[in-house]
Amino acid sequence: MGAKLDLLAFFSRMKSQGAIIVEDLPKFDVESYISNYQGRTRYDRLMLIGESSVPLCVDALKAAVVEAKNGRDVGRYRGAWEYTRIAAPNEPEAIRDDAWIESTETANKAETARLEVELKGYRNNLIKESIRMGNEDIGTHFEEIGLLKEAAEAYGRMRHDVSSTKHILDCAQHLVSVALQRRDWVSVISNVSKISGLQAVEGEQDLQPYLKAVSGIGQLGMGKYHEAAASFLQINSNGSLESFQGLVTPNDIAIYGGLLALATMDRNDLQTKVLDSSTFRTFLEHEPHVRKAISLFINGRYSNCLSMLDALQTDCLLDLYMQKHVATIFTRIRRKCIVQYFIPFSCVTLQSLDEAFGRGGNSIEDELASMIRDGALSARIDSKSKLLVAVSTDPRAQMQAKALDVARKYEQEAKERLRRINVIASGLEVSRGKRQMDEHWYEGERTSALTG
Amino acid sequence: MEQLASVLTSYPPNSASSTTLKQQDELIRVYVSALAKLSASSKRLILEQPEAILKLLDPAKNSIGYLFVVNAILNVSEPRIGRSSLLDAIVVILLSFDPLQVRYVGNLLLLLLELVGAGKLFPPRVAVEVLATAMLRLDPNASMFTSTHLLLANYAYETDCVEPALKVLERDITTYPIAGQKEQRFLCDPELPLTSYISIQTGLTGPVKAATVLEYDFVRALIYMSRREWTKARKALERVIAYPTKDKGVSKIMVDAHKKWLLVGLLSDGEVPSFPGYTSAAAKSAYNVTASSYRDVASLFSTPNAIEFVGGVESNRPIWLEDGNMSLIQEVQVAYQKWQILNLRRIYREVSIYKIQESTSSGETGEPLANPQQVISVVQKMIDNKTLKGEITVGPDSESFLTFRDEQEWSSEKDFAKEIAQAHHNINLLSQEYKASNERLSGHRDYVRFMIREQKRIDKDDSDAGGFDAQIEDEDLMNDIVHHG
Repeated sequence: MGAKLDLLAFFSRMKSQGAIIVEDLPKFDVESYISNYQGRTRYDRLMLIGESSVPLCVDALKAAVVEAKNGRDVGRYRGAWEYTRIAAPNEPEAIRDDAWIESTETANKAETARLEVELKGYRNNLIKESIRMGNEDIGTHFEEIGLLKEAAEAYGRMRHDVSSTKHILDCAQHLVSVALQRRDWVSVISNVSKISGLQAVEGEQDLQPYLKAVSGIGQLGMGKYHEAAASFLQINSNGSLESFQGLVTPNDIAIYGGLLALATMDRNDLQTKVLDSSTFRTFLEHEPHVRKAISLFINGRYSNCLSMLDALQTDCLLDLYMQKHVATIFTRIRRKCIVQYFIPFSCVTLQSLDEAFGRGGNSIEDELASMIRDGALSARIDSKSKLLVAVSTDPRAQMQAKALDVARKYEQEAKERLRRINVIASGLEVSRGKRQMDEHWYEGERTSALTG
Repeated sequence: MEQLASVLTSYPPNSASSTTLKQQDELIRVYVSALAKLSASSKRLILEQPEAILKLLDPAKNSIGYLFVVNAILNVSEPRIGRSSLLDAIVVILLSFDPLQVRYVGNLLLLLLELVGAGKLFPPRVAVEVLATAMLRLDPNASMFTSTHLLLANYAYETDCVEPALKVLERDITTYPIAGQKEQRFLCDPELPLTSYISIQTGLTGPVKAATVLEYDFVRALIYMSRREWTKARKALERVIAYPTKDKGVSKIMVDAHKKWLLVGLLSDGEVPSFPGYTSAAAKSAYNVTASSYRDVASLFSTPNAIEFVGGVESNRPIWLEDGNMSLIQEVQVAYQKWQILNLRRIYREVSIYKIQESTSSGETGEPLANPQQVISVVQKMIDNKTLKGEITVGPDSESFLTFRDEQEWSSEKDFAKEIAQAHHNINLLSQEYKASNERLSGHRDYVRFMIREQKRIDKDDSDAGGFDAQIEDEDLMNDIVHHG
């Protein structure tokens, strides 16, 4: 009972911090989920689940504490411990390991000092390669202990001393990694484009999946869904998937690419670019639900498609990169389904729409109203007869109205231009100097010689 | 008396029909100078028997003489003529003067117009009517701005006697007086362009400056606002805010007009109006600084969030008071819910009154209306004054519904053809005006100077180099000329 209260307190605090709370049980368990990832993203993902998922909270936080202690980032340990202390004060992980903190901090400081002295030495010797490596070392060190800003600076300094394309590549990859952790999407994209701009990179084929995946994540982060979908769909499954191992899994790629495509592409594109794509098919095989949802959409079985997606929603809400966009993306897909459903009809009863799309017995009338207001749906609601009626346009009337509108606008614009020509020809423009005189306008001072 | 009469009636000659323009011009000039040189005794004679002398003259045929006499009478403090006779004489001359003749005595006519516009002679209705009619006699299209325009607008607005002035105020002004205009043709030439005879030299207009023009449109907007003709008011204000400027100048009138323009735009179109394309950048940036609270409220107007809208209005109350826009803001508040209801036509074909009550709120309190009856009465009022096309019907469960009607009015090809023909005609008329302006500006000193300089440059470049370079240069020059000409 006490544990439940603790959780309640924890989530009300998370909610006030703006976190998205997910109460349903996802289809995975923490341990198997996190084993798919490597590197610093593991901690980020664990913490996200800890913050958001009610059923998995404690497991995830405990794992996060362990994860943090395996590294050297004291800030991370403090964060994970703080959350565990509130959410599960009775767990052994809730007791702060001050000895570890102290020893790690001391070691980190010593390491920083050592690397800085080393770098100074390299600088004095003016050996470019050594300076570059010194910067790389110090950058990696900062990244490991959680000083991301300093790490980005150190990696940035590497660029001064590059001597081969491989070096540029390393430098940009480090920067992308830091930018991803800092959620700095613009910098992710710009660094990725720096790599793609390089000519004749060795093993370009191997890098392609990494580049596309990372730029897709960046575009997703910036809310450019269509571009992001295109990036994910282009990932070449024949290339080495090792290159982004640890960052995202093929399953993630399938979900990101599939859902974003569903939200932004039309039926034709979905068929040719997603389902028929030989490269993306490999990814979709990992997530048969997504594949099924897309084909249901293409076949016009919208309600089945939506219920299929509903099952996916919980997992998506616990994904590091998807979470913030889930609501928007799912709304878009839903709206698209409604629009597509309505296209063949000139008039549909609200009842049948409720049957197809209604949620929990609520009428979708309000949803339709907001769709029409936003311009997503071109129709009118008839509340009396409970119908949704397509807007029938009379092309002749439209043409007439438009022609008259153009004529009137043209006339008005021509008149106005003529007026302006003559104002200027008469030297009557307002100029800076005349401003003073204008101030007396209200006092009615109106006489002055004509200028010009 | 005989001698005076012979001088006064010496124009027009009995055989006027056969004279050329040149002779006509000559005759009038001689006549005007004869009047100016009248002996002191003759002048005294006019003042002694004003009525008899006025009777000698036909105001339509001898407008110059009549104007001269009327002015002479007005110049003395106690004329020997009944007030009503004098006022009659003024009305007669202003309503029937010959527009060609008065070009020679513009100052006399202007004096008379200004006297009427000062509002001491006639009751406002008569004064405005006389003033407007006289202006239209002078310039039938009223397309040229004169100092009298502002006089008329101000007087009509102050006396709240707008109706008779509208025939002038509603015309589109396209030309403005030009100083130092040189005209070779005769002043009595009926073909003469407006700018050649309505000028300070002829005295038919007083001096005009930028503030005069701005104020005129501003006052027009105030007049339309008082008549609740929001669209017209918005257009008038648009002229003020997009007025041509140079050297990044912005006038205070423009800033004031912009504030009102934002609010009037809401009333006329239900959304924040957008700047005309030719608004100067300097003015735009000035507006953004000066009218931020107006902009905030305006952007809330088109959202369904009534509470926020009302909050925005209330929290900026001191600003509205200071700018004198309180009553306009109140109009906007009243209009808020109406526009919310009106916008429902984009979503519904038929909507229940209950739904309207639920989804719209009053712009004055921020609350929804208390009961369906109130909603019905608001909607019925909107239908009655034609802001809303639709009707209230009763549904199956005796629930009331609002049914929106189509807004398309165009039905017959004939109507459409007529409208298009009218538009075509208007544009043709405009193109004539364009030609006239172009001609006038082509003769402008600055333009001629520019052309000479360009010509010199071309000559010099021709002699300088040949071959490929010259060709390139040629292209540049073409661009230049097209651009400036």
